[in-house]
Amino acid sequence: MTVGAVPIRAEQSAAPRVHLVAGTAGLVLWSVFLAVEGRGLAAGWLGNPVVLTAVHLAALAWATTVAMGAAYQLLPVALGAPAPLTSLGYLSFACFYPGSWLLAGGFWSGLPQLLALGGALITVGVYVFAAAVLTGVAGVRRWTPSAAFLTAAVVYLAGAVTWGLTMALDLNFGFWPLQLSRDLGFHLLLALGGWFTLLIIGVSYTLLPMFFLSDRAAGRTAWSVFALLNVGLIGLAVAIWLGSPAARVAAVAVVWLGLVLWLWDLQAILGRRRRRGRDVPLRHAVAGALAMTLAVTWALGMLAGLLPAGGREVLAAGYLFLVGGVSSTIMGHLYRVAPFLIWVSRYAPRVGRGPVPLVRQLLREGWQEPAFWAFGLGVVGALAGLVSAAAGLLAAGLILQAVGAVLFGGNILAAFAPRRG
Amino acid sequence: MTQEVLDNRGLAPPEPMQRTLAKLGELVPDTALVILNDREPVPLYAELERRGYAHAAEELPDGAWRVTIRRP
Repeated sequence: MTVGAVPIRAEQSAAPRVHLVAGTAGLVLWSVFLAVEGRGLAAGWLGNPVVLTAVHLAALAWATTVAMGAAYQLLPVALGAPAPLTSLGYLSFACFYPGSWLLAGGFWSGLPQLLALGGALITVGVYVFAAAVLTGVAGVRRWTPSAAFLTAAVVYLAGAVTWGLTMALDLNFGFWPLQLSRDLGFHLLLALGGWFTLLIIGVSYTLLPMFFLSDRAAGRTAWSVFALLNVGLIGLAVAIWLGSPAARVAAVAVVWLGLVLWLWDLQAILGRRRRRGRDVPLRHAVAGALAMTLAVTWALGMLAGLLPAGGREVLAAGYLFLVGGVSSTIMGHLYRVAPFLIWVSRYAPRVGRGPVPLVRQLLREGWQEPAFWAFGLGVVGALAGLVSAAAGLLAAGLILQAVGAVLFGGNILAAFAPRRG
Repeated sequence: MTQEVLDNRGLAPPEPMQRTLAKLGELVPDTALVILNDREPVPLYAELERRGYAHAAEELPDGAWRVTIRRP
């Protein structure tokens, strides 16, 4: 019973853990794929099967899968709302995750039928996920910035997969007057700008104060960030539709302002944390936030004609955003969320009845530093290789990044593995 | 019914949950446990239900949460 509030009941379901395990495996496999096939990145980005396969594996089989799992478990904490229907988690996963691999297989093989099938499964999975989340959102007691960010992010995600499916079906049936720059622009805007950016910012406003014990709560600044990002993204959609370069620059500048304001708020939150030190999860979160903002700054410079905007530069900026920004941030949060979920599901029932490990003992702390440095230096090396067209540097960077991902993934997956005792 | 108070504020997850469950095991009969947390302890509720405890939660003016836990 809850007094003076809507009762909240936390469900214990394996669905979040299934997502986190599968998503972490997705990170490892995607990184190894890129290390093996990375030389193909030199062929440019438009229509390049290596780029299309790698981007969709990273965005779907890794980042979105993990984000969905975390959302099923943490939405009641983030939203102050009843738990989403976690039973739907199995259904959304059963559609979304295989669909992600089929879609990637479609890009790799060039088979449009696989693209359509994968895209359809992904879309069904996302709609089920959105229905589960929005059911929880309907019970929100008080709208916080995190609740607004996460709700908007899910709406953008549904839009991104719908748009992607439309393009995939068009390859099969040719019903849509496809304009590549316009339609790809919408897809990227919805996925990278809407889904990942709002998700990461919304999650940062909940998880960082919670795990790093900061007494600065998300407030007026967070609402300003929310408004700037959404105005900028909607403005960018209009600018793409109108084909107006000037409006595009103005809209991206508004998004950039929102990100800079978020960075300022983030340093204020972390500056008032009671858990001092700069551990690996914190460094991942900070590096990810800086990389996302730097990538958008770069994009702004290219759109405004201040920086070279060739295929290599566009690919490098996208890589910085998705790998250096989104992936690094999710890795940092996973270092906190995964052991927490494992501890709650596996060890909480034993508290008071026998010895239980500390949450920090569930991960191999000694693996975190090498994983962080390998991944981070790998991203820097691959970026430098992309921009300078240095094939050796690019290959070395991607291999180093894969080493970091394998160390990270091995650590997380080992924690999830069943243990005796 | 008497009450014991456990202040979990200023602790990172899942330490408040661990302290609360450990304390419940030490409670004498007819005693309620009142916990004070920085945030609503949502993951705790499922474990309380599993162990047969009832809870009543309320948000305090400073944003902290007070949860009273007792045997029904």
